[in-house]
Amino acid sequence: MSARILVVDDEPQIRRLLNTSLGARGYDVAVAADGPAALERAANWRPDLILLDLGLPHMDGLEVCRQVRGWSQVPIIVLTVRDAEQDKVAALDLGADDYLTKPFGTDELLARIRVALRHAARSSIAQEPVLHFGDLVIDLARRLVMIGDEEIHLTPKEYELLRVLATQAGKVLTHRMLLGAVWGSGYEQDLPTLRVFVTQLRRKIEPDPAHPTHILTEPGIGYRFHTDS
Amino acid sequence: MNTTRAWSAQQRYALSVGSVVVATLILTQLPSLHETNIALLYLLVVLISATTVGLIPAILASLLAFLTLNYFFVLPLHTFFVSDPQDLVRLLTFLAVSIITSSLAGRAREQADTAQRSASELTTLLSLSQTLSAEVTLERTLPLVAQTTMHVLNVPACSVLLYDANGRLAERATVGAPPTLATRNVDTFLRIGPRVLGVLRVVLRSLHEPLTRAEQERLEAIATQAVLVLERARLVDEAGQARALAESERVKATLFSSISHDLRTPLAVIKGAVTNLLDDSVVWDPPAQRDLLNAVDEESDRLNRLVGNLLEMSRIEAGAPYPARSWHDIGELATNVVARLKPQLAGRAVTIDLPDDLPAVHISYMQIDQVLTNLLENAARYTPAETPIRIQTHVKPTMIEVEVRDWGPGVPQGMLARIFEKFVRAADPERHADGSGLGLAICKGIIELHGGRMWAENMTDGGARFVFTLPLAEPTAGPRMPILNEREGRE
Repeated sequence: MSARILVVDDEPQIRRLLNTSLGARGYDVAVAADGPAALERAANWRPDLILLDLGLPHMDGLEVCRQVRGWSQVPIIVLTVRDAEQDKVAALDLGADDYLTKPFGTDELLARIRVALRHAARSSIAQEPVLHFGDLVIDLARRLVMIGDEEIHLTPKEYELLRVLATQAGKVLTHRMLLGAVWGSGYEQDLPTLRVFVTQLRRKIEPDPAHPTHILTEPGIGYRFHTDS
Repeated sequence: MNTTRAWSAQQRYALSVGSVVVATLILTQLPSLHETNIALLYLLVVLISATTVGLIPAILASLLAFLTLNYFFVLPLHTFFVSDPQDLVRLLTFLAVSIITSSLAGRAREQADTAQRSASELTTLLSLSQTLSAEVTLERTLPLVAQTTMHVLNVPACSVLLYDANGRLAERATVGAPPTLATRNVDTFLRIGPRVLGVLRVVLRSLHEPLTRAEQERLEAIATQAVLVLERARLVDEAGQARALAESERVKATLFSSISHDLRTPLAVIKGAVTNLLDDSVVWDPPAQRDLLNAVDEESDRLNRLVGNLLEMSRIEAGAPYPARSWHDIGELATNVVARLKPQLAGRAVTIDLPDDLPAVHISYMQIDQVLTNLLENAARYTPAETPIRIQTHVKPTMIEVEVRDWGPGVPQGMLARIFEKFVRAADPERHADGSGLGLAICKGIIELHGGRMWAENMTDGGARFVFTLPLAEPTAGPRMPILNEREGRE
């Protein structure tokens, strides 16, 4: 069965374009022009993924995101023309999985959709005990990290940071989410600490720490663990 | 209330002396009383005058009573000579008692007066502070301060001077008679911490009568009130400025997000369509291919329109020289525009209602054509397809009025004035695909460059009319009207 994608955008041309683009790739597409319609479709049509424009009439896209997250873990990719980083961060903090800034290429959109759908599929079944990312192997059951056959020694916080990133590979995690997940509440503003640990972690697991391939920086927003899509 | 203050010094002395004289006249006419009783009656008169006219006049009355008692009632009569030593003792005792009682009574009287005066001043100060707290603007509070100062200190004139932005002391409020040549001023600084805000200046009653200690204290009390008033006015002012700044920032942010949205949306469609066509993994059938290419075509036009409008808007705002103007017939222009817009107006009843004697107007044909085109396109876009549209002109003494009338849903309440602002759409937030949100702002700009006005009205029988005026006389030097209102935060 093909995946169902709900497109929420107030611009009819964008809706038409996405309908065509996604339909041609075999996705089942429904469209909604505003927030209330989006919530109705999300509840009754049960999409596998939502493409959500942030600038909606009647109800802000952020509000749609918040309400959907109230009862569903369906992947949400936020579409925005806004330059303001804070809108993207707010959407991600509210539980959106990824974001795309308009204008975007179709290939990029499709890649993000594939990652989000795969991530959703993976987290809906039991978590695999051993994660493979190229040479990098993370054994969640034994708390072991290896590159090839060589074991990498990580401090407990470094391991925790890697685990949080890798188990949600492909998803953009905001600074706030990472700090909250690894260091606990009360540390959400401590950006310098996060930067230091990411640098240390990259030194240990990246082949070339200056050009990271596993832990990618989302400037001004957070980090994303790269998966080959 | 304040009897001693109400009477002048002469009146008070006249009263005290008069009371003794009257008492003497009455007593000499009465059958002879005992000397002691007469002395007691005199004492009563002195006491009464002490309580009503004050200390010094009462002492004068005592002395006078002592002399008349001696002269008229003590043997030998009609001389100041006293034969009986007993009488001398009585007379001296009378004098002593009289002076002591009158001074006691007089002092009590003065204390009562002082207390009453302080109470009245306190009341004045209290009512001043209450009045001041109800007022915000310095234009209203400062005269009140000066007025109260003059009243409380009983001085001929008082003024409030404040330092202006350039650090110069400027008079902000004055009450009372303007100072004559020989006066002395007393200045009290209005200060908050080390900062001096201004001066409270009083003109003294005379050169030789400085303020008493009590009066200086009262002056300080009023000055403190005045400083509070100044501080409050400053805070209110600053709060207002902060609000205006925040509003202007908000408007700017909205403007940027609007431009960003309007420019990037067509780009998103174009890029999306093109990357779809470039994707080798999908084979597009001809209709789908055509559909994508049409999207690119339409969105390029939209982007071009938007960029054009943005440029036009900046041109108008920058006050760029307007295109050449000449005399044109508005009726002819309207007919041409309607003919050109036939495709958009298809199926509608469009009437052009012109008076026979329509005078020519001095306009830039292209620009007024643009205005009318925009109004008709809007009418076509925002009203049901079957409703009529009417163009009507009215000749007024100094101008002609052109209106585009529709029978659609009308302009939403509260939007009538705002639709002429940049990036405000009547159907917002239902963003209309074609609208750049600049059309009406540009129209208004063009009309104002022509020296006319533009506005919109909802009609009672449904629909709306968009009206613009054009002056009949050739404008001497195209007055440049501000296009933006304050909401857009223009300095």
